[in-house]
This record gives sequence, structure tokens and C-alpha cells, in this order.
Amino acid sequence: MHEDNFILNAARLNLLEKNIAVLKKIPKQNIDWPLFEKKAFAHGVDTFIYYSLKNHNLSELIPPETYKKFQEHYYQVAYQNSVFLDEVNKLSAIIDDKIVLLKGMDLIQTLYPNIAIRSMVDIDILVDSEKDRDIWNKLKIHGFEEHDTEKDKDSWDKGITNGFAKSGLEVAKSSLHSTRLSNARYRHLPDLFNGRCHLQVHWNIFERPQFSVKTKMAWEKAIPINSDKKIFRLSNEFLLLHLCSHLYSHKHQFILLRMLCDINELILKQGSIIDWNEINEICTDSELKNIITTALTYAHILLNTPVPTDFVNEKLIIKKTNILDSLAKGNKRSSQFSNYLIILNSISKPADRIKYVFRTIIPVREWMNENYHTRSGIKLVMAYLKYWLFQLNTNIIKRGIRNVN
Amino acid sequence: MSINKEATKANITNLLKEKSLVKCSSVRVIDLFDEGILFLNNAPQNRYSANSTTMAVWDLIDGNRTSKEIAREIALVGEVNVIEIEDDIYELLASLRKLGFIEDVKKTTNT
Repeated sequence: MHEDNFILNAARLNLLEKNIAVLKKIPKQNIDWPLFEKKAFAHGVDTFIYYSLKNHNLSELIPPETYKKFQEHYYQVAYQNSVFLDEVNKLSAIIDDKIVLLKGMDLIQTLYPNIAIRSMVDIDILVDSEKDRDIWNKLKIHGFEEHDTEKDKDSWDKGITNGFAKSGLEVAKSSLHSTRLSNARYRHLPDLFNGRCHLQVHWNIFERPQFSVKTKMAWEKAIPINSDKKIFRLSNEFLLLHLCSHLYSHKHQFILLRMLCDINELILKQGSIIDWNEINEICTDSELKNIITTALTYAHILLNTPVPTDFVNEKLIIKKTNILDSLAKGNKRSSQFSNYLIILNSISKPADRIKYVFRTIIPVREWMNENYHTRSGIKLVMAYLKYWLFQLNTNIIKRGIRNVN
Repeated sequence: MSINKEATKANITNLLKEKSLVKCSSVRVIDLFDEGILFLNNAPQNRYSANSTTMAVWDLIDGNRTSKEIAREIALVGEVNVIEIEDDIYELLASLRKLGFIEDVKKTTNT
């Protein structure tokens, strides 16, 4: 409890008088410092805390050994981010077209005062949706390899993945599934890795395929950040929308406090020039408005971010005492079936919808062979039976079976 | 590793105080404004943190200034007598040189 309070008041670039008062008032003997460190690291805000305490000459508020650990990680982040910056320069030499930097890669250059404050694990870029595959393939020619992150993470994605194809570049239940999967499951193509950094090539900055038209607007409004006008950043409005949308996409798994810090610092720094009317116009879709409002309400409640009242709805979030723990655990996820319906609803042609449902029930033989290691005959029939039983168990009986094999 | 810790171990006798110093071309600096990180391109695993004084000294190394001049300028900015700080500055410069981050300016001869 005290740990959360300390973190929420210290994880910001500039401490206000009231933050400092809270930090000084918290009885230090009541803080479980190992737990404090664990939470700060887990939420990616140890670097924020180190920076703010150092800048306000408040380093004595935390034990020296904790301060030292945060400092060491701060230097590590600086180095790692310098490697990422080098890689971005190399990317701009490989990719001839405009690229838009997303999330951390943009924020460390345009929002944060130095590159040590905001940690990140990969580089995210937005490319022209018409050329995304070409660019992705070109990167593979230039030293990047497809990296299977699915092997590394134990996430709800696996449940979805087993019901569909893995990446859209592999065997899918049908060509329509392949396209839809790539549309709905991924806003980006499969991860790439070149030995130094992970790279995600995005074609959509929003979680829903139907919002890709908004991505086109974001693409058009992107602002160049270098003189040769090849590397761009999102406008403040779209940056805010993207950060909110990204946070919402993690809502069912985990929310890092760092994601809220990004939103908080962006609004604190650019609040006076952010065009909220434009954001309102972009959010005409009620689902998108709900996504943005949820993220902004979290920021407002936890970090006291100054958010316009029409973007705050406290009913959207559940307040808990151990808020950082509950953020890290995520909210109850939506079911696979509801995700399936989202994909289905995104298909415009009725004939394609029917085909999509049909191929969900009877996937193409290649998919069955791939997933059930069958070739033909009775084994194939058995595989279909096994597949239907799996779908029945997972989606109707909901026994939580995850693996088709 | 902190450069200041290295500085206490550095031998300043080899530092020629009248010679100009220059940054080595292979050194990389991550400037965090009031502190920084220094390392050599060919050995990025050996990174050194630099405090605000080290970064201030670092900014003054331009291929023209000598150790003495650097110490004088730091004293001027810090509003202290140069005698009070010069040994510390020489130690710091000696450690930067020992670590391969700076070197003496080599004389060029016109033919």
C-alpha cells in the first residue's frame, strides 16, 4: 500500500509540492523496500523514480542500495536505447519510404529529457499499409529474421493462435482466415530480430481493423523529425490516441504504470497545444471513444493527469487498494468467442462471412495437416473430430483447453 | 564503473599539463545532461558513468585546451580557487586518458 503510494507520487518527471509532501510523509519503516523495488522494476518506472528523486535532491528518501540499483538500471536503459537509436538510423537507410516511429522510440527523442528515463524492449515503426509486406521482406534481406515471440510468451494470444493460424504468413484455415488474422490479430507483421534489436512493423496503430482508416489519417498527419524527411512521428493527437489504444490492448493481460506515465507526461508537456476537439472528432466511433476514455481515466485517477472531463468516466475502471498489483495482473479477458465475433463483424461481404464461418468449422486440409500431423483418410476424419471437440470444449463448455495437439 | 572511482587510482605524473587534449575518435558518449556514460566503440561492455563534474570537464576537451586551462575554467565556473581543484581535475583527466577516452594532441608538421 505504502509502496504503491510512493511509486505513484515519484514516477513522474517533475514532482509537485504535493507529491513531495506525500513522499516525505510516508513512514519509511513501513515500506517493504524489496517489494517496492520489485514493483518499480515490474512497472518500468524505476528509471522515472531515480530521475525525479535525483533532480529534486530527494535521493535520501529511498535506501542507498535501492537508489544504486535504480541508477544502474538507468544507465543500462541509456545504453540500450542508444543501440536502438543507432538501429533506427540503419533502418532509414534500408527503407526508402517514410517511416513513422511509434511509442518508446518516438518518446525518448521528443518527450523525455534524456534517453535513460523510458525503457523499451523493441522498436515499433508504422509503414505504409500498401507496402508493409515489401518492407518486411526487404528487412529480412538486410539481416533481420522472423522472430517467434509466441514461443516466449505465455499469453492469451496462444489460445487465439491455436484457433487460427499463427502469423498470416503460414498455413491458415483459409485464405480469408489468413487475411483476417493478419488484420485482427496483428496490427503489425511478425516480429523481426537482427541480433541487436526486435522490430515490429505496424500497418495499423489501433487494435481494431475497422479503425485502420484512422491510421491513414495518422499517417497523413505525421510530422518529420529529421531533415531528410524520412523519419516521422505521430502528431500529438494521434500519439495520445495510440498510447491510449495500446494501453487498452494490454488491459486484459497487464498494464504497466510506464504506459500511464507516457500518457501523463505527454499531456503535461503538450496539453496546451493538444487539440481535444480533433481527438473528439477522431473518436466518433463509440468503441474508440470508450478505449480512449478508459486509458485517460486510469491516468487521471492514478497520476492525477489533467484530462478534459468528457474523457473521464470512473465507472469504466475498477478501483482497488493494491492498484499496481491489479494493473499488473490485468482485467478479465474477453472470450475467444467475442474476439471471433469482432473479426467476423469486420468482414464486409456477406459471402465472405459465410465462407469465414464455414472455414472455421471445416478448415482447409493443409491447416489440418499442419496442426494435426495428418495426411488423409481416416486420420484426417479423426483430426476433424478432435478439432471440433477442442472448439466445443474451449468455446461452448469452456473447459479452458488451450492446445489443439 | 564510475570514472571518479577510476580517477582516484589514476597516476597523474604522466599527464603533461601543458599539452592539449583531444577526445579519441572511438569514444562514445551518452549525454544525460547532468551525468553521462562513456565507452569505446570496440568495447561497449565496459561502460563508465560520469558525474556532472566529469561531463563539464569532458565538454571542455576540444583539442585546443590544455589540462591547466581546463582546470582553470572549471575553477572559474565553480567560483573556487584553481589550487583547490586542480589535482582532482588532473586525476580525472589522467583516468580518462588511461581508459582510452582522450589523448594528447599529436603535433602535425607541414612539409
